[in-house]
Amino acid sequence: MIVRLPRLRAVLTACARLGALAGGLLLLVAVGVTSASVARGLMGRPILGDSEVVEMCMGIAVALCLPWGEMRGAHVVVDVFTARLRPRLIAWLDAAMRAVVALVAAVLALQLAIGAHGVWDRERETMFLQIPYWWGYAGAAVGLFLWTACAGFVAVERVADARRVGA
Amino acid sequence: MSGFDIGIAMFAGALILIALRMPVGVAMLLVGGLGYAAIAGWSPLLASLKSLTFSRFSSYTLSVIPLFLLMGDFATKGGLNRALFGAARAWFGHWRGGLAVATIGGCAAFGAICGSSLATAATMSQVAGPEMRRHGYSPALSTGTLAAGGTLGILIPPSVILVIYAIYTEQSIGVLFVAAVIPGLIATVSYMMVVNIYARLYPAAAPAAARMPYRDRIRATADVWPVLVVFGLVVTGIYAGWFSATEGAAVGAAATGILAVTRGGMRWLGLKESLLSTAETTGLIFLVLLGAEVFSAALALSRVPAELSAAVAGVDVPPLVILAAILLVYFILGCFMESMAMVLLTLPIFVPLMLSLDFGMGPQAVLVWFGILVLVSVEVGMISPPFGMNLFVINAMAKDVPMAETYRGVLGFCASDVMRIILLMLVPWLSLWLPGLV
Repeated sequence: MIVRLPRLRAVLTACARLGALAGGLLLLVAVGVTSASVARGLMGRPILGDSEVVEMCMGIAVALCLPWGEMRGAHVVVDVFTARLRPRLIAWLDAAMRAVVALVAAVLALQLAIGAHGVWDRERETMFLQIPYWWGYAGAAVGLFLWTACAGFVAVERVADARRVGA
Repeated sequence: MSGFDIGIAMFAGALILIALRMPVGVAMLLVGGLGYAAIAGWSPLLASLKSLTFSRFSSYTLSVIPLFLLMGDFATKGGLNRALFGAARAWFGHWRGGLAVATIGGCAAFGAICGSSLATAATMSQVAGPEMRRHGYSPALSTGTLAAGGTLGILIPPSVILVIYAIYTEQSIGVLFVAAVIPGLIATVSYMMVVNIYARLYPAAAPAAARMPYRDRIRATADVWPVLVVFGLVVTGIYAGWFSATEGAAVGAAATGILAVTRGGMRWLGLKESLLSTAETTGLIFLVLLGAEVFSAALALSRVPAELSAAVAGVDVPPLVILAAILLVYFILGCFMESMAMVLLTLPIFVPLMLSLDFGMGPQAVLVWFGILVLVSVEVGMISPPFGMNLFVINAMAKDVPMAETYRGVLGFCASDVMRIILLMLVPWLSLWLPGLV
């Protein structure tokens, strides 16, 4: 391997961490806006369109969370059926599955980007606050493309691992 | 291939891929996508993916989930576990098997602000595990208690699984939360009874601690009463319609965050850790949700759920037997599958099936009752040997305890769980009485 995997892992992890923190901050914004809206609702003056802000924040935040989960290896994987296989086989199986994850991530990211272009083209906006939808779509697409990069990296890393196991 | 064949093949394909270590959400997304394309063609699939991802991620209803996760993470990283265990210990410590009883009590209280079983088990074991060991509790009892106590995290509302079930079946989240209160209390009391019986059988395994004067008990409770207020406010508020589930979760997260700062001593580092931990779980839960959306859409196209319920409805078997069979399936699947993925994978089949059976009550009541039963069965799977997830988490944290000891310690709790499921199945009233009050 010519590429230094640990180096690349550090860079991607840093990006993913930044994304996750940004997603977390958006979540806090949603908490703040919603709490404020509840408080004002009790005084009989609810904030109009608070749910639109929450939706925009959530859509971007969730997508920004994915790369971090990927780098942390937090996927839910069932391992009891393969526990007795040879380690080498398990390693290759994992590599193949992570490659599929990367592929699925790439398709999702690409379709979302096309969708983002679509809502930008048609100038779609939310009802009350007139927030352009493409903001949300584009923000989420950033998350998904970063996720694709991370998933691709993890797949390569797993292939490198598999070549080492039993070699 | 007919639609029905494709649907059956999808199920088999998803289970095989999952067994071969494919991440659950991706497996459902992939198989669901392929099935959808096989029935309806590629272009509708790709076209729907243009907006589906963002519309799922930005769904106002689903935003309850990250908010409840954040609330739980504030409680976890904010050090509220220590205070809750302290209060429970002040009240129950001098009982037979007192520290273990206090652990159950602490888990129940923690479960009232945290919707995840693994998080509750892991967090409480940080404080209660070392304490029990220090006082000479047997490894089997202490790890078994923590694993079982952890399940109170999802049994007692708020519960992520219940939220997902409610959204999926279009039931009110508040009604399901309220319905889960009595079953949750029954679970707490019966776990405490299991500890008591264990302590009577093996007195050396669970020595009692010194009795605390009432002044100290009240002082310890004063530290944690706001936690119970937050719980009451969130659950009652959502149920009574003072605010939507999302608003309730946001208020709960904000209040728990403030408590974590004032009572638990959370600072910047803790806040950062809470956000990162929420992010990690959020991303993957939504990946599973997205996968489940595509999977169940394709499954509905294949008409498998409809034809299967029609076939089962034609069989001359009492509905309760069919229900018992469904719960058995959950119990078995729960032994090796992550609970949320399992629920999402099976609901498209089981919900229409349940609705087609006659239990002598309205469809709403059936769905609420079934939701509680699913929740409880799933939760039993998390602590049943050999594959229960909670057992692994607890065992990984208590490094010197062999797995066999943990298995031994949890058996009594499993037995009480089975009895509780049968009770809840035979007496729907336990789940339906409280939400029916208003």
